[in-house]
Amino acid sequence: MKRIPLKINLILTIAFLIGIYFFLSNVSVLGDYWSRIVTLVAIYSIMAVSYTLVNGITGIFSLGQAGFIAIGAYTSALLTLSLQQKEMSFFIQPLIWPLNSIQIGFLPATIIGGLVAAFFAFLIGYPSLRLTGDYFAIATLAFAEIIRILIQNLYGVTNGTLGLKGINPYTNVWWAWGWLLVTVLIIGSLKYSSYGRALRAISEDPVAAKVMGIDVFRHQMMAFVISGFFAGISGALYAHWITTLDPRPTSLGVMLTFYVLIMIVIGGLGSITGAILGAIFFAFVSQWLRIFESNITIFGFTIPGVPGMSMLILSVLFIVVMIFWRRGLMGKEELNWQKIYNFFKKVEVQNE
Amino acid sequence: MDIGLNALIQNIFNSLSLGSLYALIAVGYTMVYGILRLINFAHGDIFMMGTYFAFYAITIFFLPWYLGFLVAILITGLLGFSIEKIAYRPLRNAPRISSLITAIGMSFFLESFAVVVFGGIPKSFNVYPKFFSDIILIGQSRIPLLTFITIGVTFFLFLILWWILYKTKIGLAMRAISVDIPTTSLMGANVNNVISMTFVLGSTFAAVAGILWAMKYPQVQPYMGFTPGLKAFIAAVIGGIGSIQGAIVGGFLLGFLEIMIVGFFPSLAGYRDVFAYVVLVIILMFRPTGIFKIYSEQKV
Amino acid sequence: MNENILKIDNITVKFGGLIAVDSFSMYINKGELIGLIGPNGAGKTTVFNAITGIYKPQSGKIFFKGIDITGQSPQLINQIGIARTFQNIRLFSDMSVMENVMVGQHSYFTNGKALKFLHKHDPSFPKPSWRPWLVGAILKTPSYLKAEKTMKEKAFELLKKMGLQKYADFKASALPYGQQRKVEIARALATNPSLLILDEPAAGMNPHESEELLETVKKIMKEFSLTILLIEHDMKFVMNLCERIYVLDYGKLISHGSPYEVQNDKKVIEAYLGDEVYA
Repeated sequence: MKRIPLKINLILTIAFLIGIYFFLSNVSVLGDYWSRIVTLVAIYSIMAVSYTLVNGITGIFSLGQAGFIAIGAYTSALLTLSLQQKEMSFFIQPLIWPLNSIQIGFLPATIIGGLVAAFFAFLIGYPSLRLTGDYFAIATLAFAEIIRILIQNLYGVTNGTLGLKGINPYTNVWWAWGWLLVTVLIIGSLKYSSYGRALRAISEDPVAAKVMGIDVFRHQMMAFVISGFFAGISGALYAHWITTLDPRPTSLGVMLTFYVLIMIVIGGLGSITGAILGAIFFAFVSQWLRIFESNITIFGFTIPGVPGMSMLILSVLFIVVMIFWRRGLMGKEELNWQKIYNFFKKVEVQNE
Repeated sequence: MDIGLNALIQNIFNSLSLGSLYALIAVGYTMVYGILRLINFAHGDIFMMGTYFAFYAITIFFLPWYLGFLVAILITGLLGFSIEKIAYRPLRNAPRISSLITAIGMSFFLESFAVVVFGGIPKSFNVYPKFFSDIILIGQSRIPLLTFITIGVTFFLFLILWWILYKTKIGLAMRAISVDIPTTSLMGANVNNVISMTFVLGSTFAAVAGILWAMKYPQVQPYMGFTPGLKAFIAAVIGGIGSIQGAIVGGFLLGFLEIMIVGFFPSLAGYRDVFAYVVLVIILMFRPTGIFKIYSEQKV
Repeated sequence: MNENILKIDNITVKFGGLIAVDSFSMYINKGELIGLIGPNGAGKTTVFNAITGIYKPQSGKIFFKGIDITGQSPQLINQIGIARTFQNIRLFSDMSVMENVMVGQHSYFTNGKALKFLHKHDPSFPKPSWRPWLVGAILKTPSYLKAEKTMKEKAFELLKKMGLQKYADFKASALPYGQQRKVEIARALATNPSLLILDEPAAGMNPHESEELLETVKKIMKEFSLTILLIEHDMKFVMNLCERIYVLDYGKLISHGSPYEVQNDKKVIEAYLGDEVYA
């Protein structure tokens, strides 16, 4: 097949970005509901891309993603909530100083959310990364649960089970997609650098990587912390999208980790573009499958909706992908113009 | 002083019954891990399914409670058997992470299934005979009969397990496979059958634990398996994953730890679930092989 | 200064109750080519694993350039100048041949820890300076891009020297066996070693390929002024190449000397004959 020259590649990429720009600027045409979904897609994508950096590219299996998302969400929300709202919400136990007397802008709050999550990733990674395989998975899961239970109990900081309400709905299409662009640029640039090569080497054979002089622990830690940072960012965006937070296991707990895991498994573990495709897929399919959860009327017969149906179908799909199609949509590779070109060329050849 | 002693007796019995439940679930984790090196993430949800089976066997099919429980336990065994056959067997030679992900998917599936079929709203598990809740007085301490039943049933099941493992052919094969799959299949044991049997056994134990659990906290809901499952897994790790004695000891240790800490420091009640995780982290840091060391570090 | 580039002093490695290497000692002078032979299961690879830090010996010491490296991590041992290949090829099979070699160069750019270690033991080594390579790599700063370019050129040069340039963009796993062994050597060379340890480099090669490899090994040894330690079953290969040979059996050193001496040592003949009788 013909190789696409760099210039055309660049032009196509710019055209694609401009296309996205126009799509996003006119997203309101889709109506309020769907433009919110378009925003959610970007938030999910950030979650998925940051998760695939650890679970796909570095090849260590963490189950702690929801913990970092929760930290980012709570940290940023506590920083942007208005003082009156804070006083109103925290009626069991007043919010501790200094959180009760500050309110800062969305951007710094998001970044601080990311940094706090990254710091926790460092604290958690330090002991956990000495473990391998399933032990690491379980340790990170335990840490995420510890974080959730702390959030549930520290009334003076997080308002406990009452959760946070009235968070400003700052997250719009631009914030979400802007941060996604930053995430993809940074993690993509990392993947295609000397460090990225080292990470991929670690994921294939940690012992051989060590013998090549690579400090496996440090590199895994680096990936884990960067992933934690962007998970925190996604949490901050999510908090200001959904506007209420609570520490139930089904909202910011292990369930969220499962969702993100579904995205990256469907997209292909280790692929950034795959993670985004997985996120898009998850967001739209889980919305679309909701039709099974409301009543459907066909020829005058009403089939009652069944709540939870969408997750049931997604979980079946997830298992089927794991058994029959383990590389997912993209495997470890990235979607690029060359692949799209090759694909259409193949279709053309078949049609002739 | 008297009150303190009573509280202590109460706490000891509570610890024993909670520990029994953890141990019953943990045995399932540890047997599967011993044989397949797989954390059967869905095990906690198998536990949950067992309680629903019992609930419906009694409420819809009007079975007497003892028959309902028995049927539920058998169906749960069958469920474990099918899960292994459908989801785990195709991935047996895949990278271990793939089977772990599939197990997570299976857990997610069972939970969603329960939400769809049984409904997401907790149901009151009031299908057991009322005399289970009778109070027995030990000194001044009031202990429900259920606590004794729980401890007794657990003890009985562990005797059966011991008998299976050490007195039957399939038990011998199970122990052999947990050491080395290739050699055992050379020796003529049918590895597939043994693995299936392990899942059946683990699942029936989980079902018993589930029913006992549902009577203790008398309600059932689709996500009820997650926390006990995770804690039982932690119990298995504390004892040394792969070791059955370890799982039992770990289960009781965890039971005592939870009840006693809350008993002595009631203000920590909200953090009750944290203890297990903290213990897990400490164990993994300092003695990842657990109390009963089964696996030494992998050879490179 | 110490003449020995590597000195092993009475190391013992045990796995549970099994003694894999039993108070084994050896030395290698700078510029030598040393063979380590012995029947299967004699503990040769375990010696390699102990030298490269994968296993920690229960007793005994290992010195590299006079520095005690016993119990140091594999990455540090590699960074200060010991590189190796594996008996069962362990390339990064999903990556291209070029990338494999470039992975070998990575630590060279981030070797602060190794330099600190060396500097502590011998102040004539340069002091480490902190280089913000990670940030540079993400932001693609000019200095990083320059380094990346140098890495690429060096890697390509290495591939050329091993006669692998035409495979540069191939997936490592797509190469024939013999070529994969060579890629592994190129990858090891990319870490800038002064001691190269080869674990059965000619295994699975036909006589022609192994002849070719023999020439390559001689060539790179001269060109990179390397010291080489190798395990090999191909006796012709060992006898032709090595200056001195150590013979292991059941974890114990049973003979040591020139190829001629070793070949005529009764103990060695017994060990090998015994092996054949059982085989």
